[in-house]
Amino acid sequence: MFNQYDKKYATKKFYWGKEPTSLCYKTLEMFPPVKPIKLLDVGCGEGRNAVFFARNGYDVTAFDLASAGVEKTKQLAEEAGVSVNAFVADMNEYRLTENFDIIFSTGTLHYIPEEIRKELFQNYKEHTNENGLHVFSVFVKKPFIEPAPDSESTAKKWISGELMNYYHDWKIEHSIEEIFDCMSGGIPHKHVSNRIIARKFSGEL
Amino acid sequence: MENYSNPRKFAFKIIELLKTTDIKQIKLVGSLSENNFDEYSDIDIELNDNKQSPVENINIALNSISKKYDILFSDWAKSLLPDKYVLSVFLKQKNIFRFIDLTCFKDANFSDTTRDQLPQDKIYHIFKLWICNAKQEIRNRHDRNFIDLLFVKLFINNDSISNKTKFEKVLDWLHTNSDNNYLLKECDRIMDKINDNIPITLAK
Repeated sequence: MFNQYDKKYATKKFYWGKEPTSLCYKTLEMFPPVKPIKLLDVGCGEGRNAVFFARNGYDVTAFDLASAGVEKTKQLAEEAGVSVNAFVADMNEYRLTENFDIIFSTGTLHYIPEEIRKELFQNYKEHTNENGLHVFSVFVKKPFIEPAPDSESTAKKWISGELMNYYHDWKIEHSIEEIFDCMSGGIPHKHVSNRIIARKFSGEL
Repeated sequence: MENYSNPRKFAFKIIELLKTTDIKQIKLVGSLSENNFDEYSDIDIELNDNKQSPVENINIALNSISKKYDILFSDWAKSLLPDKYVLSVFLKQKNIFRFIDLTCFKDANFSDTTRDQLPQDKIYHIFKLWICNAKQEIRNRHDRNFIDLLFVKLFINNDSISNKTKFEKVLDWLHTNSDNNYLLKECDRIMDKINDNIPITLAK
């Protein structure tokens, strides 16, 4: 399997860097590692977030479509002296058969075609343990934001509120929509992202 | 894996790290601040900031620690609620006794966090209590050794068995119930020293 990111990840340099995204720290606050919490990183890229979680006591499984990214995830984990169960998979085809406490994904879910989103999120929700979290960041389209110069035809941005809709029956712990500057492709541009942390919750408040 | 030979130096490194957050007051307390620490001492840090709740202060601190150090696990001392919030943070390092206790006192501006609201895992809680009591056993501080209380959490009380046997039995229970080989190995190493009555030599 080869995709555009295999090329981006083929160099020694880490395309996204080695530092975790801010959402990782937010996750740590929401679900501190009181045990090896089972966490799945969907579309792990080169593993910066997966390795952060593994470093900090989580039991991490991660997958990505780009085999070069998965290799770099394993490499980064080895450098950090931790273990990440990383493998190549296409999130549009791969379905969960085991449960996790946290399902985490950032900057990837816009590759899910609109027509399978409902079914895919249902699978993720069903395979989340009680009190578990979904921590997602998606790109959102806005009429007043120009498409990025390096925007990909395979990407299907989300619309505001769409992600939240899938969690009407969960507890929303955190949700924010933000416009941020980006330099990918070397040309300054803007993106809008919606970040959400939702908890599977059936107990009493 | 980092090696922190000087506990005070290491404690101040943690304090410096926490000072990069916006928590108003960060204070080293306990044996390290009073200069009566030994190689088994943990690092007691008190946090104070009324901008956010005690749990939020502690989470900010935990967050900050995770940026630089690898966390093995953390465990809330729920018995101290609601007056005192204490999270023990165990790092991946050679001296398992040198964990960090992050403490924040009750703040009347925020509603109390209940025991149910704080996550806890029984096995890792037992690990923490076993390590804390083992430390006192090694120090021969029997007045601070509550292995009896830990023992009765898991087994029927039996006054006829020795403290050492109680340590062994609780450790056996951990072996049966946990697959964390790193922690089990550390505890085995400590148990050997307790059995040998030899003060443990910690990595420098």
